[in-house]
Amino acid sequence: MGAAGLLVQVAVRASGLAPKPLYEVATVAALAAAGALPARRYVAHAAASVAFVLGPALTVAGLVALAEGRLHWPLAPPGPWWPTPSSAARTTVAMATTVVLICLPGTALLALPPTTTTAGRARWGVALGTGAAVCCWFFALPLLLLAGGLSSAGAQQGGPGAALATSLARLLAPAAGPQAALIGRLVLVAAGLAGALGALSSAATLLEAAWHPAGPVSRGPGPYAQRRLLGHGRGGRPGRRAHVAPAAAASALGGAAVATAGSAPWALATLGAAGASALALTALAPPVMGRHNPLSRVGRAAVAVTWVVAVIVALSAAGVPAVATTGGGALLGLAVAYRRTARSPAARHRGPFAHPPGHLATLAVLGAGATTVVALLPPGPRDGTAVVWRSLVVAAMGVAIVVLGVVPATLRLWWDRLARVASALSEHVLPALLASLEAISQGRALPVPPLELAPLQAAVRALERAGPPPWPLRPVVDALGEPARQALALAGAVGSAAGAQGHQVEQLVQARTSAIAKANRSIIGASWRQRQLLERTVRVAESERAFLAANLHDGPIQRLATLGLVLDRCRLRLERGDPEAALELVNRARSDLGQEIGQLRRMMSELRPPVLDQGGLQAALADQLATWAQATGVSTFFEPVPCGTLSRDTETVAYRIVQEALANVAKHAKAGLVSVSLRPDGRGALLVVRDDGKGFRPVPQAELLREGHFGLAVMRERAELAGGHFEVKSAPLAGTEVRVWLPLAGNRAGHAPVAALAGGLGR
Amino acid sequence: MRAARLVVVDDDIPLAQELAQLLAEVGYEVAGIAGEAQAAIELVGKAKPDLVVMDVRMPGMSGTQAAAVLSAEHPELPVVLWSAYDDDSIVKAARQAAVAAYVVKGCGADELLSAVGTLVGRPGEDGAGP
Repeated sequence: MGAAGLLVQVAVRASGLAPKPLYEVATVAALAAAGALPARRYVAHAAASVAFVLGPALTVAGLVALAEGRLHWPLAPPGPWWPTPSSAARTTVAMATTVVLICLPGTALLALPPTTTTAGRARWGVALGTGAAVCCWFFALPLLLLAGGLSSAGAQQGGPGAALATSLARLLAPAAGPQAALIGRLVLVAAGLAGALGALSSAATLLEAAWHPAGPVSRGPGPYAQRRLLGHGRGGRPGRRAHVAPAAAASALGGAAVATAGSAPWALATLGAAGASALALTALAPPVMGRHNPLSRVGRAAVAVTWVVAVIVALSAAGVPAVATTGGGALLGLAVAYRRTARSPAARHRGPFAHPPGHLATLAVLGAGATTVVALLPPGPRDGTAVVWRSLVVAAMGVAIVVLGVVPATLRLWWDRLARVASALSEHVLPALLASLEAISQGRALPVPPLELAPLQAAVRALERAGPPPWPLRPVVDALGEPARQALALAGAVGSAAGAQGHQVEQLVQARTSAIAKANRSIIGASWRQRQLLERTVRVAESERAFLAANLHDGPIQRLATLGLVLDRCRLRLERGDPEAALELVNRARSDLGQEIGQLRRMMSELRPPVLDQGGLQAALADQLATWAQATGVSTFFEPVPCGTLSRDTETVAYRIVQEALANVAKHAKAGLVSVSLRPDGRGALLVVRDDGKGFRPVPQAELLREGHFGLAVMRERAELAGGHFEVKSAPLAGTEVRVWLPLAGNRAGHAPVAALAGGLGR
Repeated sequence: MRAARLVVVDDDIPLAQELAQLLAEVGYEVAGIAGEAQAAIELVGKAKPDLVVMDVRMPGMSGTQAAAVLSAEHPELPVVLWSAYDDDSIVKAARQAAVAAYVVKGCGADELLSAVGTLVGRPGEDGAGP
């Protein structure tokens, strides 16, 4: 801003058109209006607006002054082809030129979307260049002509160059001497260079806006991604080839125009300038200042400088017709560039051609009015009245620029910001919020995606960085900004809620998974236990049957076979005629048969002791003990204590266990006394069989089974299948105690198929 | 001509004694009685009998296994298995053991005496005994 203001002041002072204070006031007013805006890019906008309106206006004023003879036209070529236009014609041409020069760059600048930081930087560059253009447009033409004049002045003293220098010196410092004239020349040279740069910058900005309306370097996935998809990548070869050729052609044509300007017919120079303009604008049409121009900066500068030089030389050589043809060429090039731009995928445009016509017209009228006012100012020496008038006009122009250019641009910036907020809110955040809330209502956790929040966050940040809005917009900004912040806060809260709900859901899922796993384990465990139970049941039943078969083989069958042999012998004796001996064998057979019947009866009783059904467990145990004592000669002691009712099956199990225990005692213990007790114990009955035998070292059941001792294992299985517990206590020389707890009827721990085990034989 | 020498093997000693007495009354010479297979093998080695009558189901080595051992040691010695079982599997195993005859214990000893008579001849007949 400072640089632009300095340049403006330098230009204004150098022009000598008004006293310093008035120009300073005008400059400060314009810049203050711009500086009151919160961001630098608004300053850029304001400076650019000032530059593109004021600069050309002053330029035209200078041209008019030249045309009216108040300034010398230093290189006016002699000859019949140089027209001598009327004052009205000159004024008309000047005004038309002004309109063209003002409208296009000004519109382009104001059309730039101020949405990105990079665009802001680009506009800063534009502002610096165009700030310089405030003075350059007025001095560019004389400067470049001066360059030619100076070069020729060295050779021809008193030639056009000297005349121009004299004119300028008189213009800058009427009362000064040769030093002032030299200073004036230097100022003109510097200002001319700056003006050339400004003109280039302005044209570049204009064309970039046309090519890439989203801004010189906009961010985001939209247009860039589209261009990438379509093969129009940055600096891609097709693009580079496409634009290098017209640039080179423009340079060549411009060079030709310069080379032939001095000697060739004016038409050649004019056509060269027009063609160069068209081609240069075409070549520069891609985003000139952005990163996406396939031309290098040097290449772009060369094209632009060539163009400018060609135009200026053509103007100096051909005069008014060159102005028209150059303008036409520029418009043609712009049209070509625009057509190309319109075909590009990024052409959803807010380019200069989409700018509101009212704004365009306003600027045109402003420029034309300023030109007219300046042109109508009375010529002649600058008296006090003229200075006041000119100063008033310039001040009014500054105010008008601020009011008509800066304010609409500022408002538009704010509208853009608000539009971004509203767009992000309606297109991203609110739909995402809705989806999240619906998901939460359905029990799912769906936080708002950060990608959906980012546009609104960026828009709100931009709004906050912009500072206080202009007062007309303040209610709107408040009305939109606050809901946007609240929506962001709500999205954050929804995200937290979704996270919390997700946590709860996760916990619930974990709990249910755990419960299901537990239930599965329980089912598997129950299934396994049932399978084990079945296997044990089958195993016990099979062992009982095997035992029964062995008993049948070793018992009844052998006895009966023996009887058969006895009867055979008896027959032999009868055949030998020895009935007495035969009778002896018959008696013996009868006795053996009786014994065998008794054996079978005992076996039957063991299979299902009748006393168990008739007298109950106590009586059956007492009977069993008495029988066993009689068979083994071992003393027994039985103490019947009334205990609860055992089921019939459980009683059978108890009977079989005692039977097995007694068999073991008879087989292994070498005991002198066996005591059996049955007494109540909790919700069951405790059966204890104790002997005073030699005992044994307790070994694991698996080892017992490996060694073929199935008695203890069978007892344990019987007890456990009946829902009870089995325990053996023994030690070498300390006797053995078998303890069995069995549940009372109705208190069965499991559903043991005891009935299947009730049968069978003791051992 | 001397009577054939027989050995009776059965873990049921009363039955074995009764069979031995019957065989003796028929006219055979009972060289000895054994209550288990291993004792029977030793007894056969000492007594050199003409035929062995052996039970199948005995504690320790079974009659079928003992028959296989005897067949290996004394290829000419006929062994008659005398069993309460008439299962096909047991009969098949007995055939594999190369026993001379398999007789099921029934009421009386007619079948056994017939088998023994076929193998070693009946007492008092010509050609009886080795």
